[in-house]
Amino acid sequence: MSASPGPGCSVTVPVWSAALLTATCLLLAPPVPGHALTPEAAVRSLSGPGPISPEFLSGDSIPSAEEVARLLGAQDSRDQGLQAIILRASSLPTDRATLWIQLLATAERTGVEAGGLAARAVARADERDAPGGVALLLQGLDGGLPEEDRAALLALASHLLTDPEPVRAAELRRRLIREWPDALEIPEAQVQLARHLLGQGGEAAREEAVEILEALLLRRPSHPLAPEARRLRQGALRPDS
Amino acid sequence: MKIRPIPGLLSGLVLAVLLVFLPGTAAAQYLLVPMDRSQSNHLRAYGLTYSVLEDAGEAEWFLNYRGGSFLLPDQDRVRREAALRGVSFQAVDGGEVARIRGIIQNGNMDAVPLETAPRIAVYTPPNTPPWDDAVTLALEYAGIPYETVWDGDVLEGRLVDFDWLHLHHEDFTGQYSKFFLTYAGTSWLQEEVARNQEVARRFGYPHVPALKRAVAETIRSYVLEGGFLFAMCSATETLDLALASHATDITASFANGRPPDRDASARMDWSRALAFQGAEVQTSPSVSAFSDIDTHQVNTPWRQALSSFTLFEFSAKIDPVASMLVQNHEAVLRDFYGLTTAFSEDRLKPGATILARDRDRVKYVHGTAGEGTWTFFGGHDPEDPEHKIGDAPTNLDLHPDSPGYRLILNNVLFPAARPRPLKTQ
Repeated sequence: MSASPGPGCSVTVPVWSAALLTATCLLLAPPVPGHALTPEAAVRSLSGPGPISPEFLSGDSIPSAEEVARLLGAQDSRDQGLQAIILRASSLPTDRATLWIQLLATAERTGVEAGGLAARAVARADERDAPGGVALLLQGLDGGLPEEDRAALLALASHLLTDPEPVRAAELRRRLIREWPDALEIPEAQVQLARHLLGQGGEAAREEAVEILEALLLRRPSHPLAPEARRLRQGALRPDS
Repeated sequence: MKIRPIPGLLSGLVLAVLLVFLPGTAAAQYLLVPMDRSQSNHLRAYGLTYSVLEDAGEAEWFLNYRGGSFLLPDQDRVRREAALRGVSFQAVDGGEVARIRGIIQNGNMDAVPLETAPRIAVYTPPNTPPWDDAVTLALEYAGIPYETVWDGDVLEGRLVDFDWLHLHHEDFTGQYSKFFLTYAGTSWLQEEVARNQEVARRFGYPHVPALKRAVAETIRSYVLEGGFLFAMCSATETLDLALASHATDITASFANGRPPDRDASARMDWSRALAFQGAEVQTSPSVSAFSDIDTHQVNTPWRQALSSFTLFEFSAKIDPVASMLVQNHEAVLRDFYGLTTAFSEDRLKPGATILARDRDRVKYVHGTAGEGTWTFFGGHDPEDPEHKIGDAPTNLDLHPDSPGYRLILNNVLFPAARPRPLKTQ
């Protein structure tokens, strides 16, 4: 799924980041008279997944969390659900929008059942009940979801807990790395877990962090997160660290 | 199992395909670390090569071949280190190495064995953060170990423990980089003054300029006895000013309590200096410059604009030392300021080898003294052209292919080499 983000830009990017990129490019490109950047305009400029539901383009209807979950949870409205996430994220302050962008990343690569579950979990987290949302996800993991969807949901669960319960988030990341070592979410989980361990301090945590980072670098030396992993590792290996 | 040889071009193609697509899996005898634009992390490639030498391994430096490539033994440990550091390599067998040697033999290239990991000392005051010195930044980023030394260590004879000594923005004239006018009230300058004065007292010198001159003389002796000296920024110019001023006083009264000699320039003894001669010393305490050796005078109203500088291409087989020092994947580099930015060509001693220049401004120069060598590189930070006090440190993750930082790291590996004797000196 890709989109051309607008005048002045010629890159191809995933649809969810295209909306954000459009905003960035407009900061750099000459202004177009009479063209105000609204979330709706940003979405209009995308060649995303099918037509945008008219109800989202009226300018005054930001999709509710429940609406997002409903759309994502059905095969025939999944694409609209993805667009609804962008609109909702665009309307929220940064800290809350991050949750929905994480949902977008999860929902783009999971089936409808996992996507709907992820949306309900994020909605709970958005209402300051991240543990409740994670409980939903963990219950779902015990069901019959496809293997690749389960890794994505566990990664989302660890994201939701990063701020409120960092130790538990780290445990979830350990489980993710242990049970789904080939999942797409692993490099980010490894970097996040290493950051957490280095933040904790202590020799054992430092050694575990280095081991995790080296596993990432040896397995995926060209991954986009590899430079950050190298930086963290080097910092951890300094004698004064 | 017997494999029927595939003749001619086809076998070459098969080999090429294997090298391109199976760099990490084929069992080979060597790892070629290319240093042209295909390299993913030029700076850490030096660290990888250093780590091989440190581990008692041997390496070769292919001067002018693909940007100054390295040939390393194909070992699991080396492959692992390369992956951890993000350094790209190609597995090559004996046949491919023979082909490369043929290319080297027939072109302006040479293969220089690297045998020992040089022991590195960085001259820097205690408690100085590593991010204000391009060399420590480069060493840290490349993962090359070093120790720090300062005046006390130098005067107590510790330099004999090291093969390579780096100096950065020290002011060996003892005038605290002439920052007194601008920064007299700042705590960092007051701490620097107190620290230097304490060391001068401890070693029995009447003032800091006398202490620094003694340190400069010890460094000169280190070079004459076979040490490798690499200096950047103001350490280049002020080292020679300190050495040449033993019979006069070039320092402002704030540094030693008395005004400078009015005829200081005429009384300089340039025979003591390593690189420069005949310079006019700037004795005014209100002018933040040391002499007319520096071409840019960055902290004066007559500051010169930055441009770019060009690396010389030397004959690798005739001048391997100079060739090593200019190995790079770029030939023209963006210039950058320092308290000493570049050197006036007409202030250089005749024996100096100019490695890079911008018109008559010499950016990078090398020479020998006694049994040792010195290399001076003007400017402060190759990736921060207008570095100011208090600026954030340069993040080399953003510049893993920095051609300017490569020049610094060439100097680090240079003492590891055992080149044939120079034919031009």
